[in-house]
Amino acid sequence: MRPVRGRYFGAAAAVIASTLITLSGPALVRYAVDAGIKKHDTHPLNVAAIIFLCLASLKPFVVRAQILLAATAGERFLHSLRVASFDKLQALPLGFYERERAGVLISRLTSDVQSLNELVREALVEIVGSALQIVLTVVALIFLSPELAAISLVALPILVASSWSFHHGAGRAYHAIRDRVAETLTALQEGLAGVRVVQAFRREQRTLERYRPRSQAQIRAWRRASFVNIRLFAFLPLAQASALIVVLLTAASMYKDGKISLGTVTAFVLYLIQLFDPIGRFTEWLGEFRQGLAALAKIVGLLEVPASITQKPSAVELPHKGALALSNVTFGYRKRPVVRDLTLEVAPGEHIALVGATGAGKSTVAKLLTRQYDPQQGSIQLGGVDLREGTLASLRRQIVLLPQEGHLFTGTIADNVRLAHPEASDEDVRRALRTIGALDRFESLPQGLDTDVQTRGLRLSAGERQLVGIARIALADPAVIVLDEATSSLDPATEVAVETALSAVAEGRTVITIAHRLSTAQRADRVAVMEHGRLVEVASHDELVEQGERYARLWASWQAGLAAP
Amino acid sequence: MGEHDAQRRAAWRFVRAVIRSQSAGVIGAALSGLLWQVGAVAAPLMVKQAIDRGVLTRDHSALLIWLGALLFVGLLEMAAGAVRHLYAIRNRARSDARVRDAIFAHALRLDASYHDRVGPGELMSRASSDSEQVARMMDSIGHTIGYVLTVFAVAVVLLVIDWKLALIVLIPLPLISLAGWGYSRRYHAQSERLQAAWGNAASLVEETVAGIRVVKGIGAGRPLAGDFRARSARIVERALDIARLDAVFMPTLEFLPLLGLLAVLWLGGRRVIAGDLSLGSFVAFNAYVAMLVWPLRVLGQRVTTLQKAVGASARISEVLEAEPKLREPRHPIKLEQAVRGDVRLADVRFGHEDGHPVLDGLDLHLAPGESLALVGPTGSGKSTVAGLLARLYDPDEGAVLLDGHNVRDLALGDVRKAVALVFEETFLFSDTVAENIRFARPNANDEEISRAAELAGAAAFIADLPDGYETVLGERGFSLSGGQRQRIAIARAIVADPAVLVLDDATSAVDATKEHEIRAALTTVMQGRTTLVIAHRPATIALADRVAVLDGGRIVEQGTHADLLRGSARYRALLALEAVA
Repeated sequence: MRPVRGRYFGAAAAVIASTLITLSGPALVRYAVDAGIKKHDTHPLNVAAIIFLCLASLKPFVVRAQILLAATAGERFLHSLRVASFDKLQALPLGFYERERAGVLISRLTSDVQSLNELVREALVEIVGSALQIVLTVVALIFLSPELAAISLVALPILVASSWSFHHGAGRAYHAIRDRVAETLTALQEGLAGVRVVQAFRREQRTLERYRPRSQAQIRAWRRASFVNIRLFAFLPLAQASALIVVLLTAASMYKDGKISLGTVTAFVLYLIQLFDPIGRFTEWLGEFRQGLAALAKIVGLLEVPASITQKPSAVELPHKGALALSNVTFGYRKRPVVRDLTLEVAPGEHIALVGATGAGKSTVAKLLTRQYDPQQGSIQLGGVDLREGTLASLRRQIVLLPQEGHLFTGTIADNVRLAHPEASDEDVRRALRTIGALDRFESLPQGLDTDVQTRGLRLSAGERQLVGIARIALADPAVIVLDEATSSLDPATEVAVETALSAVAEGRTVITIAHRLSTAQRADRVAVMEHGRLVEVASHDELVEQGERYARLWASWQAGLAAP
Repeated sequence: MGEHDAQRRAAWRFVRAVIRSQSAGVIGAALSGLLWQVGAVAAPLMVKQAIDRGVLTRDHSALLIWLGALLFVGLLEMAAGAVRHLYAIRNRARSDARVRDAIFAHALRLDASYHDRVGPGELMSRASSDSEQVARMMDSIGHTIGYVLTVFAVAVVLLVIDWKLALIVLIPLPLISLAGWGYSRRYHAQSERLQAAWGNAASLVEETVAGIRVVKGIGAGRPLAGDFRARSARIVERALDIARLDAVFMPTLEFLPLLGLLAVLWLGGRRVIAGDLSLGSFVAFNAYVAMLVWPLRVLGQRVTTLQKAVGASARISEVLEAEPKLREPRHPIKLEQAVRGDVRLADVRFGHEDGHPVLDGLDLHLAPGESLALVGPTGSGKSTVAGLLARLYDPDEGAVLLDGHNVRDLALGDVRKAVALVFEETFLFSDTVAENIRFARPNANDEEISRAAELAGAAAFIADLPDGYETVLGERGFSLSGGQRQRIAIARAIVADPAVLVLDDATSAVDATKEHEIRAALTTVMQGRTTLVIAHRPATIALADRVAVLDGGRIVEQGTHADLLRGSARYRALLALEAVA
């Protein structure tokens, strides 16, 4: 922030210099007229012309400095704002994403930041420049005639009233615009991200119909803001006229009484007319300022969402080895506990399958293990270190989650594998793919690992997307893998490939699988059965089947499902 | 080069079209801007009269008259200024909406192959950031016209007062327009680059938000943040490129009028001393030239505003001029009211743009009411077949026939009404459960919705949701599991009640135990309609009357599930039955 501030001061200094040069023009003309032209003496005229020429040739450089300094400062500030917001996206808990719509978040980082452009590039310096001009002119007015200056204060109530009324309404009006922009972007985002479904079900018209009111609402929000805006500067000419009228009335009677010279009256009136020019610009930029402020407030609002997952100052590195221990873990999303008093110790390298009906709390356990949330009671430890005591970087390195769907980013297959480790070499990527036995499959593609996966990876099958996700894990080399329903959406042939890949990557690592396919549970070292947030059975597959209780019933119905014609 | 010029022309065409679309607003803004300028120029004249005829002559009534006139001018200026502003914002907001609406509407018309290439983040950036640049131009257009007229009026006045001096003063004007012309091309190119940098950053934001679970799961936050930082830094670079143009152009613009002032001061002053020019004219000249400084500065800024708008328009018209590859036939054949659902793919070839065929002479026929399971290894083009049936794509060669008509000859809406496609990845809109199910048939009543949910095996978990059918789902249906989302998608297809149903891996995420429950539902749904099922579980495949095996872009085997199981080793390998059994 410090270099930014320095540049802003520089820009402000340049504006002041440029304003002074502008103001010196009329003074020089006056000097040339009074001292030279009226007396038919060319010398003062030449002097004035030379000074004017010097100042005028300075001006381009001053303006240039102002533009460059303000632009650099402004762009750097916006850059830091964008980067901070993007970092914030990573720090926000998943729950935030379940509430907030993608379009709103996108609008914060794009449209809101962009609408700050005017504020940081021009408004700040222009406001300084015109404020300076106002102050100097007012000083000149007081110097010329304190009485008339006092009288011209009659314009002040109009100015105060109009700007008060503006500021009263501006905040709400501009916040409304930012909100409407976010709404339209949300509608656009949904429609565009879901365009294939929209087209398949002929919903183009309806989608447009649903979007249009939002687009119209944005127009209305602008319209309301424009009515607030005119409060600010429409009254300026009225203020100016009133000030001039009372000044001239007073001046007329003062002149009649011989209390004031005509020259003073003329000069005073000229300065008074001049005064309203910078006032006009000042208010106009003030409007831009308020507009930018509203956008800034929205961004700051995002930045200030408390990140529930934070790193303690005393945080230590989580170990790469060690048992994963959940002790008396209780967690719930509003008041309803989803995971209750769960205790489970997973030995290093052990494979555990979490089994249970939808809503039993399996996914929540996955979120707790990867520290998307912290337990409300109890603790989760890796190698004896509470996850909350570990650094976030080591947490993300040691415990990774493989979600159900394999989301691909634009770029090549290799880029996608090294998503979390962009510094990994091509050889690292190939090794990761070879480890999981998927190298041949991708290398046989026309462009091999450099094949572009395209937006949303529509050209890779679900299974191949999974393989990319598993390769990411092989590259990441974590201590613990949490698999969320990872094997439930594949065709059998690819599933064989995926299972091979998974067992390769699971080798020697602790794995907690949220299993829907009980064949996965069957292969695990132990099966943990969840019911209504509680752990009800933990033992090996064979033991549980033998016990003949909950798991045994699930297993029976699974087998019946497989055996059905 | 030629392509670039064409793009530039398209951009200008677009800018002109936007201006024309708001012509009433533009004229209103220009007229009120002009009136405002008249007021601003007239006020000092009123003051002058008040001093000369009132104060100086101690004539109180004359003073009052001129002060009254001053008040009138002030009120005029106030009204004109307000109207000008209202028009400016109106033009801005309306053209912004117009551009955005046009992009969205066109994007919804563009076919899947376009959206495969251009992601939502990029399109959003064109509909917001680029359209914003055009809107800014529209905001200032009224003022600008007012300023141009002011410059011309002042030039005329100067010429009338003293044409020789005026010519010297006015020399900078053509220089200014020359400078403006010279810079405008560069502004155009630079601004297009800046806007592209914005689009690039916006795309990453969109992708990150959309894939946040993966990002958090693998701990990719930090590298992505690094990527974003680089993209954001590119915005800074591009913006500073433009600032560097500004830093040459704007100072020139401020400097040239100063030369005019200098010329008036020195040359004019010498002529007054020589008796060639009256002092009054000299003072008036000075005042008028000073009046040029501000409008010229603003006009310079407007040149850049306009060029930025043109640069952005190049990106906008790139979207708007993209032709959907799928064309509506000019005279579509009317489908009969009751579509029979006879589907045929005849010698279909299809490849993505890189020239590797996905389908290579595929022949497939589904009789009305028949159900067919399509199986095949990864990448064999099963989803492509699904997309072809719903006419999300057109085949490169060969034809897709519905009830004997080439789908290219039918109205697109008719085809998609007859064919419902359920994707593997369910896209849920941020709306209630009921609305998401009603998606395909907005006039379906609540009873139909709940019956469809029942059939799809979704009724039970919907009842458990906080507000049942009125529960608002997250944008990507985060709060639901993959299987639950798929069941909602199936309910959606049931409500659509199509003649042809295509299930593209639509039950993949449904728990195997739950799939058992919805198998009955699927049987009911498939009754009486042509169904293409892409599935992998033997139990689901067995529901179909017939199975076709797709490999190497062709159908290599067909038969019933039982026959193929018995007779085809390839089929058994494909289903990995050897491995499971």
